Amino acid sequence: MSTSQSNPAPGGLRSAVKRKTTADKKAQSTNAMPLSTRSAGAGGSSSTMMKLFTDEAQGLRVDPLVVLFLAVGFIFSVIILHVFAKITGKFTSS
Amino acid sequence: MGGFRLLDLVQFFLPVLPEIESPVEKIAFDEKVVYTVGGAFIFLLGQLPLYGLVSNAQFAIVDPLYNIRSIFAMEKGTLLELGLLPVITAAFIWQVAAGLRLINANLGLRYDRELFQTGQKLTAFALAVVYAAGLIYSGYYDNVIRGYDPLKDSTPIGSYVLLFTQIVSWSWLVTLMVEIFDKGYSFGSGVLSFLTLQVATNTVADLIGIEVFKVFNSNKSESYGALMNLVRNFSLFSPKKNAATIWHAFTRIQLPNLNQFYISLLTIGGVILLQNYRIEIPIRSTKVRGMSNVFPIRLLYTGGLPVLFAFTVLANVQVFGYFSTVVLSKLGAPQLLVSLLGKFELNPTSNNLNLKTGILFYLSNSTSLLQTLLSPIKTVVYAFSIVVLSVWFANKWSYISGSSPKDIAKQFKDQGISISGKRDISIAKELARVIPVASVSGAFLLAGLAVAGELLGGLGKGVATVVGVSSAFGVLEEFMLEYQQSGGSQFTSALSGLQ
Repeated sequence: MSTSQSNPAPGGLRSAVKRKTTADKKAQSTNAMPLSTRSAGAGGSSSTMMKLFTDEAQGLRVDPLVVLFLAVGFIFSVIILHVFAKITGKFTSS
Repeated sequence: MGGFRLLDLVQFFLPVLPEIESPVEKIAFDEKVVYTVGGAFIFLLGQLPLYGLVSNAQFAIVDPLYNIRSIFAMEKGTLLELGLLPVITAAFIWQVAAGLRLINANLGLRYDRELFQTGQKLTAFALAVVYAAGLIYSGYYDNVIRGYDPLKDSTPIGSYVLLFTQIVSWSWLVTLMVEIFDKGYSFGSGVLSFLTLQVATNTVADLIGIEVFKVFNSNKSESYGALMNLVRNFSLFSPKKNAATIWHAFTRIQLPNLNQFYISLLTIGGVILLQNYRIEIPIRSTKVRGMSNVFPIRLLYTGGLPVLFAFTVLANVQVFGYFSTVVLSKLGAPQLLVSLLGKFELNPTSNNLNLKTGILFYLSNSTSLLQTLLSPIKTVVYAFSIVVLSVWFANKWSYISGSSPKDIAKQFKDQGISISGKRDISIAKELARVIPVASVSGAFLLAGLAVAGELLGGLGKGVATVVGVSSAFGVLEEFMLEYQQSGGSQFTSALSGLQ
């Protein structure tokens, strides 16, 4: 490194200045880029709350009630399977 | 821009992933309560046993993950087998990656934010598939599948598919319910609400659960609740037997014991105590003369999240480590390599798979106080890794979550607030002197509390309590804020009108 210290900047002084301004610009833009969705001003995880889904993305739109009913429906189908298993188990074992 | 972005991969999945509609208008307070209670109730229904297993399968399952269950609401042998582990892991992966700028996403742009969010959901879905497939592949269910004898029968593909479908679909539905909570249909965040709920219900059930189970490998049956069992077996006339009963109440490992309960109780007290510490920064209005107030900065600035993060990392190490040992030994890797990674040994009284040696052993918690004292190196390594992970995360999180000193300074400026005796420009600097210190020392104390519970043999209960109680505070705070802003609940005012 000691040899390169005395050398002039590669490409001359002009390009050194140019590179410095681009580096500055880059630093500025990275500073401006928000690090989380909340600091971008759009909700999301705060310091104590972990939130995942706060924007409305494109996709298969569903109503929240539909999901809740689906969940209940799924639970009931598993319960029905259990009940059937109990009934058939009674008949086969006896 | 050019170049390849991870986010662009998500784009292909956009049309097929379900997306909950955001509320059209602000959800009323009462409606939020209904959504919260309803969602919570449906979440708890997930403790239904899986179809296709023998009855009381939770005692017969050979369980390598027993020490992380209570932290992530993973219920053995039920639909909630994976609990919240996929969602929490996905959230931490994406949000920490964005905060450290490991992924190329400009969250200031709406489209990038949407992709980012869908990426989290996709990861949660994919992780559920991976965990479920790994569990089934590792033969986790083999000795509890109904009508299947591992020694005689061929691979029960049908049962495997059935189990896989149940676990994965419930995990996906839980992810979507988290989304309902997050999107403003309810208070606070979905993940933390569900965790709190699970911890609260389990703590009560652990103490006074009245269900009676036949104990595995023994001819006795015991109550689920630790105190219940103690009371049931207590007899006034034989003090000698009572001593044994009390000893048993503190040390039983198949069902919850009193030791875990007392650790939880002390932890609750500790978290409440820590929650109260705060620094109050005097603020004044820049617009109205003479208006002054205080802005509190809590010691637990990042809440329970650092502890949750540390245990998420370790839990994933444990889970994937376990899968790797299974895969390696099934592929016929040399025994030395497998035991270098981690050697599991079955504990016949509890059917838990305990780690004996290997890298994973040093990153696992103690099963009892005795083990803590007998293997000091492991104790130190474990405690150290938890504390370091928590502190690192707390420091980062105080900058990358939307509550960094810079963000708060911006909020102050928007609301016309300034710190008394300071100029506008130096607000961020002043806050930066307090916030990281508060969050780091808060995380350190909280992690210490969690680790202390683990070293005493809490088997994850203490950690779950730390996370649960601190999340409960967050949710409660949001609830009260909402309550005051909406001018109280219409339901309660209707009720009070009746009197």
